[in-house]
Amino acid sequence: MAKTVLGCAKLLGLVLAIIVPITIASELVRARDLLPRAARRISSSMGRLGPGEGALAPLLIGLLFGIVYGGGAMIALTRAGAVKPEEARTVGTFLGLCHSIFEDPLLFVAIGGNWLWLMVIRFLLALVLTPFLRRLS
Amino acid sequence: MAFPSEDFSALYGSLPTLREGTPLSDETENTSIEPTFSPDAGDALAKTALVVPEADSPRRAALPAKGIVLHALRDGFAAFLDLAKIIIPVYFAVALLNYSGLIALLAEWLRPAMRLFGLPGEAAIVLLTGWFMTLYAALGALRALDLPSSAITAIAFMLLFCHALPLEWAILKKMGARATRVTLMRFAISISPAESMPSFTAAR
Repeated sequence: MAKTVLGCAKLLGLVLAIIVPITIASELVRARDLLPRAARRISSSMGRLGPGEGALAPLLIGLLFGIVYGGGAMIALTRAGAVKPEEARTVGTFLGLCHSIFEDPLLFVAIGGNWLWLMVIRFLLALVLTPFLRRLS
Repeated sequence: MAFPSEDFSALYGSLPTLREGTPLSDETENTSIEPTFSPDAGDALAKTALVVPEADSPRRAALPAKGIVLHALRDGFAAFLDLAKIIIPVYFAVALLNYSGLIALLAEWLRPAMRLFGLPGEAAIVLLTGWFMTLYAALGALRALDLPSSAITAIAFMLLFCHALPLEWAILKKMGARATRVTLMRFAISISPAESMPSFTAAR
C-alpha cells in the first residue's frame, strides 16, 4: 500500500514538473502576443505550401495548447470569416490527430515512453495522413 | 491542455475557457463551420487579435514578466489539482485491481487481441481508460501497472491519436464537423498497423 502511495506521489510530481513550466511558457507567449507574430512569420515563410495566415493561428494554438483551445479558436475565426472552410477542415483533421505536441507526449516520455515516437513520428504521421483523411471528413 | 487561463478569451475571441473533462457551454449559437464572407472580414480579422498591438500599446506595456509568471504558477497549480483529481482515483483503482489479480485475469483473456498490437494483455485496460476517459486517467492507469518501456511507448502512441473519444466527439459536433465519422476514423487509425509500429520495432 505504501508503495502505491509513493508511486502515485511520484507520478503527480512528474505531472506537476511538466505542467507548471509549460503553463508559464504558454502564458508568456499569450501575454507577449507572440502567437500572431509567429503565425505571420511562419505563414509568410511557408508561402503556398502551408495553411493560410488565418488557419495558422488555430493550428498553432491547437498544437501548443490542445484541441479544446484550438477548436474554439477555429470556430471563432471561421465565424469571423478569417478562415476558409476547406482550410478549417484540413487543419481540424490534422489537429484531431495531433494536438498538444508538448504537454501530453512529455508526460508519457516522463514515465518511460520514447520521445522520438511520441513527439516526432506522431507529428510526421499526422502530416502524412491528413490529406487522405480530409476527404473522409 | 490543462490550464484554465480565465482571460484567454480576451485575446482570442469567444474561446471557451475550460479543461478537458468539462462539457462545453452552450454559448455558441452558430454550430456550423459555414463562413461568413463579408466585405469587412478584414475588420473581423483585426478584431480577433491577429493584429499585433503597437509596441507602446497599454496592453503590452502593462504586463511585467514577473506578474505573468506568478499568474501562470497559480493557473498551473490549479490545473495540476484538476488533473490530480483524475489521476489519483484511477491510479489507486488500477493498483487495487492489479493487486487483487483482476488485471491478470483480464490480461489473460485479452492477450490474443493485444498480441495483434504487440502489447501485453494489461495494456487493454490502459487503452480503454484512454479511449473513454481522458489521457491523464490513462497516464495514471499506465503508471499503476508495470509495463516495459516499449509497451508504454506503443500505448502512448496509440492513445495520443485517439483519446477521450466521447468528449472530443461532443467538441467536434459543436464545431460543426461530422463528429461520428471523424471519431470512427481516429479510432480506426489508432488501432491500425501504423500505430503498432513502436511495439513491433526493436525495443528501445
